[in-house]
Amino acid sequence: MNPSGFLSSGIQRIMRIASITKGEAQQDEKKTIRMLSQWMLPFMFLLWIIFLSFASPVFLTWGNLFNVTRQIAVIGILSVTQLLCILTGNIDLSVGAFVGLFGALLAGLSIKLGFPLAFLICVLIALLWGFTNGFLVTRGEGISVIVTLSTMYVARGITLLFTEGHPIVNFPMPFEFLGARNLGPVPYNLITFAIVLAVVFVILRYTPLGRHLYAVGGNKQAAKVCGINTKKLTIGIFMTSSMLVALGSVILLGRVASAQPTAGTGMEMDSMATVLIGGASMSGGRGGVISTLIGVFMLGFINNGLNLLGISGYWQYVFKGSIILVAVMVDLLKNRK
Amino acid sequence: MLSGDYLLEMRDIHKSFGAVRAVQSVDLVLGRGEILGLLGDNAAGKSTLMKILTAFHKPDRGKIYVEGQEVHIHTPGDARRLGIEMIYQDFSLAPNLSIADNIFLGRELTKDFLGMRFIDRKRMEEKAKSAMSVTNIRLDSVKTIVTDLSGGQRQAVAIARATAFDAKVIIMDEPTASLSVKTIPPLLDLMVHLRDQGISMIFISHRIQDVFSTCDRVMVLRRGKCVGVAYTQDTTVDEVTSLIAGTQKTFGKNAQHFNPVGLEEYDA
Repeated sequence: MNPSGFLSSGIQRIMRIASITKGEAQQDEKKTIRMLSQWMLPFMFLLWIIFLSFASPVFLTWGNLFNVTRQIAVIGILSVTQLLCILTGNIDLSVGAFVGLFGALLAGLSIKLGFPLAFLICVLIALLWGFTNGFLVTRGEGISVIVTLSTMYVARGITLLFTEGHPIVNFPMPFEFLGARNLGPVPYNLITFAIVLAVVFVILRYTPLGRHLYAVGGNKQAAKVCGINTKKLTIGIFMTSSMLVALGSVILLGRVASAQPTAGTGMEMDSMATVLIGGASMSGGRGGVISTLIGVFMLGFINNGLNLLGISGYWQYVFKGSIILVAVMVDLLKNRK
Repeated sequence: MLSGDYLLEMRDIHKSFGAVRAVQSVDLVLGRGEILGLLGDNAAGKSTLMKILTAFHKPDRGKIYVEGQEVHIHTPGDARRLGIEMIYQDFSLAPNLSIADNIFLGRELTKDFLGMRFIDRKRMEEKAKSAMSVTNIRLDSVKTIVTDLSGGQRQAVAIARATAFDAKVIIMDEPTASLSVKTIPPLLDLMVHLRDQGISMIFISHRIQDVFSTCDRVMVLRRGKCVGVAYTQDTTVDEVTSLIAGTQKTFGKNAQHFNPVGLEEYDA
């Protein structure tokens, strides 16, 4: 079995579910399909893990597993912010570029102004950034793609201008430990990620705010008539998102000890992939922290597996793109009445 | 019969969208425990008038009183706090949430834990159950996700949501439009039942027969203006139909003792 065979068997499975959907629209049937589509991707993931553990002798070693977990913190945090955006029916494509921008600004300004002042300025910039994204997104319906695609370009451009295309090194970085050190055997970045996960999990599941986020994604009009200020909520989400992205950027700075002008490239796609693999709906209102975590691990192990199998890094683009497409198609099946 | 003590009054309401005058100088009064039918052609201004009550439109001019007090409704939340609930054609439920979550959407019951407010699921589910029992619709559980409900059941959830919080006025905007024919009579029965419990309603419908079987009074709008108000017992379906169509200008003699002009004595 090779990876492309794995993918095509997944597609076959989806086609089979599609033929079930065509049959009847009974309620039980609907529930079954929802269950099926919910567990299909985790199931495929399990197959991939089993396959890898046979195909690669290195895969099931502690060293390798640890390596994968160490790498997921940044993309994991970004996935959580993407989850919040996607839950409310939006998307934030600027997360990757803002990782780069925040890192470059923090590193560059730290050299000139010292860390504390630079940090304060950068946090304010992040808040303003999030507010701008959110404010623009709430001006119209379904414009978050184009708004954040544009701000992504702006962020990337400013980063390249600011760094003049060169990496910034030798800057003061008190938070280096977040990216580079361990607490006992556990890397600080994983602890940070776990805290972010836990907080968002509790908010989504056990607070009124969480219910409101789901409601806005499920039916914005309904949320409005129930007295929920959807615009305020959306702006809040984008501001939270930019703060979390800033956190991810700090971890990345600590890990690589340099601010790369291209840092974060492609992370918008990765964060979207993890959330969608986790079963969230692009149209909003469905998804959760646990399933996003599964998605994060899936993407991590897919990348890791492709590396171990010696498959060219270029294939990873093909795979990521295809996985997102599959996830979106599964989502469409779920939504079919 | 309607006394001077109104639950809800809208006075001299105007609303234009650009050059379109959607509502012009409309007066609407609603008594306690009555159902007022709001009738009119498409674009007669019914929905606009009601959306002013729930803050989806801001009136260009006019005043709103609830129980004699002037009120300013700026957000849908304001309307809810005043006891004005609206039920929409599409029921306005979040399909991805449970029945209980929908009923309490925007006013969740919470309990404090470590200084933070968390959802009190148990209490919400208990209260949702009792709210749903008002509607006489059988349901397995209030934890059911709304996507899995039929149209009639969704309508019941919307009504339960409206009644769960001591609503004074429930506005029903075409509540029968997306229901199957057999689920309409139970809905009308429920409306009468709620009215008998003292809840006032404004009922917008294209089905004039339904309006006549439930409403105490009818009000006809045409091109943004009120063309007449009458007790249903004093008028006929035919008369109302010709008023809606514009082939008759005002209500006939029988219904003349109640129309917007007759309100002046209260204003004074």
